[in-house]
Amino acid sequence: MTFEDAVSRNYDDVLRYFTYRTGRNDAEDLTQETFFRFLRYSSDPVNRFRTPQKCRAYLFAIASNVCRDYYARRTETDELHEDLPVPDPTDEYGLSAVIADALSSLPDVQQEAAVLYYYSGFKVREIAAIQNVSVTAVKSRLKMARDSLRKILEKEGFS
Amino acid sequence: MRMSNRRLQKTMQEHPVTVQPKKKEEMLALARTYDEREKNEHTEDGLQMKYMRTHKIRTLVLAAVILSLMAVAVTAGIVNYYYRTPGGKIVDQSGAVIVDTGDISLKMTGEKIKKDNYTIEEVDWVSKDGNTTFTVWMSADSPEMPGLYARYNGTDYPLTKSFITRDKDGNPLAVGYTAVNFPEPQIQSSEKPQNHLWLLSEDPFVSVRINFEPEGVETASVTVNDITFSAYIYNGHLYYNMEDHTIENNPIMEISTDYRMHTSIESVTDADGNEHELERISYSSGEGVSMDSFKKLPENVTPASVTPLSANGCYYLRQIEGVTYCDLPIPEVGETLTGEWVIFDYAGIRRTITEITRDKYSITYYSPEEDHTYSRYLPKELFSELVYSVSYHVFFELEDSVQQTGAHNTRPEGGMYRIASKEMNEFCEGRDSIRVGIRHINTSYSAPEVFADLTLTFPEN
Repeated sequence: MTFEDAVSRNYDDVLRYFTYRTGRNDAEDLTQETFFRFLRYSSDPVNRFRTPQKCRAYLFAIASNVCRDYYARRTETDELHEDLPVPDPTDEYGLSAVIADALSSLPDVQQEAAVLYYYSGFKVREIAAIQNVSVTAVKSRLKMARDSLRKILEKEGFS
Repeated sequence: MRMSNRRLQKTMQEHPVTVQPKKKEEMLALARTYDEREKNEHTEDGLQMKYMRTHKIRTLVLAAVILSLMAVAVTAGIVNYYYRTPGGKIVDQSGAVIVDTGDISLKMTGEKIKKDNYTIEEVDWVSKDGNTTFTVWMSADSPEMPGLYARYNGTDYPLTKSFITRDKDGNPLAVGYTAVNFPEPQIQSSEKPQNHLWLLSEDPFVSVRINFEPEGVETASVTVNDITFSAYIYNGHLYYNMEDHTIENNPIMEISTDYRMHTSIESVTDADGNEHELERISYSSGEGVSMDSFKKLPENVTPASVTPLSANGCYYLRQIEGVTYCDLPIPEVGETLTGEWVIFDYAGIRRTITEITRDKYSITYYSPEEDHTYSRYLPKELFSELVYSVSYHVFFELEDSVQQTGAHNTRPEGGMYRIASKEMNEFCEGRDSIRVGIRHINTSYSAPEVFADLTLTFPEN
């Protein structure tokens, strides 16, 4: 597996992860930083991860740390997700925006667990490894995230 | 109706946020470059280059370490060489000057000769004005008689003889006095009064200090085992008494054997009036440091038949270098002069003339009994040998010839010396003095027997 493979396979998903987590403005830069760290932190990273799935898990673990650092650098007055589109339930684009808005309202750990679970395709065990918590904790976070999202979406007229 | 988990998941996954990766191609290009480089690294050439880079770094580090260690070792060697003690060879921090008296300095030349038991080290003896340079080195051609010599303008001068020297096990091999024969230009180059020079020997316990006066060497001292002995310099040689020396092993006293031929004598005439040319022979003292030259009589000429060329006395074919002379005044006929005229020979034997009397055909010199043991310049062992087994003569030098007295003394108790001739009056006419000196015969360094025989021929009065 080459580094080009790693980029081509995961770039969009990592970018989406940051779009959900930080908004569109900084997502691309954070995605690039994630791949740079991927190279920097791993000696011979491509050969180290023989399977694409292991490489992907490692990439998202790095992305999680990059996101954490990103929030640590930001001040409380920064407005998040300012670039997300205004929710419009009548079209798919608006629906996705509503969902994104709902995700942004979640606590960080729940938000990250939900994004990794629903959009990045990780299993609970893999999310536990990325977040460095137990499987039970991830399940709990996902349950709380689902409850919150369900309420928001039902309130917005989804059923 | 409550939204099921499956419905929630389906709703979310069917409406993901759209992403527009603007920099993905940029990242892919970067990834391709990285992959290409990695690919090259794993080719044979790439691996070789990688290995070379690693090997080069290791080699450089290793070379730096080795060079550092070598520098430390060389520095330690230099320090050890120039600051080692004892030995007294090096006193200057620069490592170049080992003696600096103000006008004269000794410098290492770097030349060193290793022998089985000795190390011979050359040094340059250089005056501060740079005009006088000669080389000093320790000579150990013979273990029994190593010496310190100076080379000045191509000529070797003995600086030290019979030095105290030990073998490699520290056993003393030779003990004796130091003979220093300075070339005149070197002595005169010292202008400052009270200048001194240290002569350094191989023996760490022996050093010689010589004080210079503007007119030349004045006093000297020798230090052995931290005991300083006064030394005596005369006629260019330095002597010191070792009788108080406490080295347990029996010291071997050596004396100078510098003899030379009286150059003016080329032939002798026998009683029949036949002239015999003398054959020059050489005799080495065996120490490899001195060479005696003599002239030998033809075998068919017996000493008794030899008639002196001059009116009185006979020839001495051998003369001792370094003998001091005393120009004794010539009294009028019938007159007696009193005084004290001291003559030293080369070994420090002293003979004092206290009275000079002249009659019509002879001049007589009186010498009182003397206790030679007082002499601080003469080693006891050598003194004893001379007193009890060595004869010595007072001789008189007239013109270019050496005139023998009519008597000779074999003991130090004093005696009478007389020169006699029918032409004495003619000889003394127009003269103020007669030169008198002491010579040895039959010493342990004596010449072949022909010369001893010759000394026994006396003119008839």
